[in-house]
Amino acid sequence: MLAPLKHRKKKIPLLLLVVLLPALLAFTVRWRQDITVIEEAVLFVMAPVQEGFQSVTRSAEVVWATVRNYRYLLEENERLKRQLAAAYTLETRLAELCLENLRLRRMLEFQERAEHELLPAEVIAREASGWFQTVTINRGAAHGVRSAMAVVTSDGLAGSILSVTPVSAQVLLLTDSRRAVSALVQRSRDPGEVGIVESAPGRPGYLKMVNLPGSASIRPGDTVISSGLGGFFPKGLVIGYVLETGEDELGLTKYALLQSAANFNRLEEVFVVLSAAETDGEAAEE
Amino acid sequence: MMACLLVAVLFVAGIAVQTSVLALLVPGGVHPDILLLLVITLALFSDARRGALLGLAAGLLQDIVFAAPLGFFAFGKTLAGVLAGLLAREVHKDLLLSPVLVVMVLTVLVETATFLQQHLLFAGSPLFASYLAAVVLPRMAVHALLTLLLYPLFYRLHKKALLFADREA
Repeated sequence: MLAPLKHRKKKIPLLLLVVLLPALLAFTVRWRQDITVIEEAVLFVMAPVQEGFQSVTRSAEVVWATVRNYRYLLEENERLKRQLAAAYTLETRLAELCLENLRLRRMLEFQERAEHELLPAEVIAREASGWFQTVTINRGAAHGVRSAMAVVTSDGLAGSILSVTPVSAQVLLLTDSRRAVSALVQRSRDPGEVGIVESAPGRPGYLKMVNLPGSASIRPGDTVISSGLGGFFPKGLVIGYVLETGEDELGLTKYALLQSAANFNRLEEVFVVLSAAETDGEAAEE
Repeated sequence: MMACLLVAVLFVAGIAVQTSVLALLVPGGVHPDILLLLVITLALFSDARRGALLGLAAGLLQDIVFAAPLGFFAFGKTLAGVLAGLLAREVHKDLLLSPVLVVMVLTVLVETATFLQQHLLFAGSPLFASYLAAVVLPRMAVHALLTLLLYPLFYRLHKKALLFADREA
């Protein structure tokens, strides 16, 4: 009984090769669309294994590619950094130009409605020690600039020309302690309420209007303009806006703290008032 | 039981390597047939019947995973398993050259059988000479190299009795 069984077992390979597999092949070569449950189970088991191997291979490939291309990546990184820096510079420059364009538009508008002949100038230097409030502009005697001419921005009065070279000039700003302007309140324009605007001690960047009569009707929010008295600055230039008012120690006169109309911290483009100075100004200081 | 589990793991890992790692690393190239290598190497430590079952299992697995007609790869691998099993007692297992030669010969034989199947079942088969030069011989060389690496590992497993019991010895 055992001998035939053993004999039969030896025939298994032959049966497989000659009968079973050719038959299976012949059958499934036509009917392969519908997979069996067994095939489905095999594929179900194989899928995560294949996915795992695929994932590991891809990771290894990425690591290998990184190692292989390390030098190239370094160069590319350097190149991209340079490009980024250039782009950043360009972007900054663009923003600068936008702001400049805006300022110039405002200046142009101001120049067109101004009553005086104005010479545009660009601030090219600024006093850096902090002791004085002066800037240098890129217009000088060759452009018609003379000493003591008023300098304004589109927002208001900025200062006056202190010294002139052929191609540049120094401007003494209103916030400098050496500068003072005769002024009045725009709302009343009362000649009897003329005061002097000068730098505010202890309040850098602010102005102080002093020597106002005790009866002056000045109040916070008022606009202060140049009076034109003394012939140094043309009349009607906006100097600043009243923040607060008070009386001096003796109670005889009033004073007012002003927020300057011109932004002295961001002076970039200014105008030199040519015509007014020619007609009015000769005094060094009012 | 342990041997069956080991074989199952080897087959699954082998087909996974073949379909993922090799397909990705050498796209469009001539890949080694890992399952064929496993079948031949394992059958060399067994006999013809077991070799046939190993070849059948590996071949059917490949048929299923590759979505081929059932038996397409199974036929060649069963043939390889049977022949390697028949040669198991004749091959000097201690010599590395013997299994390498067996693998090389059986690779050519199985590839030829697969080519014939392809020719009989489907239209548009390439010329055998070009197939031999472009696929069979390069694959044979790769198989020979891989056998140099794989066979010593299986030999150690065999020595530790982790593979099949030598029933015909």
